[in-house]
Amino acid sequence: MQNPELSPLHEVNMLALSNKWAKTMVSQPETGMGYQIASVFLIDGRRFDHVTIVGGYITKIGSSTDIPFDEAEIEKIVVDHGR
Amino acid sequence: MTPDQPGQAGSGNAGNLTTASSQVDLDQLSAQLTVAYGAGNQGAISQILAQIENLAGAASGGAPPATKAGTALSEIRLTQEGESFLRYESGNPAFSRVTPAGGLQPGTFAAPASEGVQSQSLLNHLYNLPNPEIARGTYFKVNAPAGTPVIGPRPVVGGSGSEVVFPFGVGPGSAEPGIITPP
Repeated sequence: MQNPELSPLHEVNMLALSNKWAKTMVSQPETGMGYQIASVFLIDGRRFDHVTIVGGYITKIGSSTDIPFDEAEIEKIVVDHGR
Repeated sequence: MTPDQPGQAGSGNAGNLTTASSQVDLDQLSAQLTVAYGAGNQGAISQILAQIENLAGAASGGAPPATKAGTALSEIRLTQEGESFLRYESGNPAFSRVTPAGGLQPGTFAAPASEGVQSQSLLNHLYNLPNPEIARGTYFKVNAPAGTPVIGPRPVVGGSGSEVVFPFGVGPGSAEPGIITPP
């Protein structure tokens, strides 16, 4: 999914969530204006904490911009504000 | 809960008010608040909010609610007549927290309109936004009806601006159409 507001350079390091995740995300509270900090649970049992999600994009895990999974691997996303 | 009817808060910012042991009580009070808010019963709303604040006090060992954002308890209040707010968003409408009917989803942040419309280049400094390279290209003016539960304004941790959060959302017809944020 292309976002015209993002340069191709930035697109490389972000994982765009498809619209099927929109309801999941907007039904959970924000951590700050326009972003959420969440835990991402994968189908294979792996879990990633401190995941930053901005406007439908997974942008960081902790301070790392390496997102080592694809959308198809995600089982659920739980906003926990990094707690 | 429909998107345009302020409802039960999620576990996040409203969670600032609780400990795990008080979550059940908060859930019950939130459900009651939803009904009272929907019915416009100001007396009941005030009563329930007082109970929530008491719950927050108990969760903090009796300490008064904090006025600072972040890790401490927060004070919930009701908006006054004429209060308005600004909500900045990135451009993917599917993930917008502004509902099609002009409400805000529960747990949505905004800035007091008294801070004025800010340019994109200043937003990160003011509101400590992650990924400033993602343009917050649209803003919405939100005219919250008097009596809307809100937390704040409080200082943004890591930023120089102020923020509010609507733990139960804002009703339909409150948000004006989106406007392009100045660059």
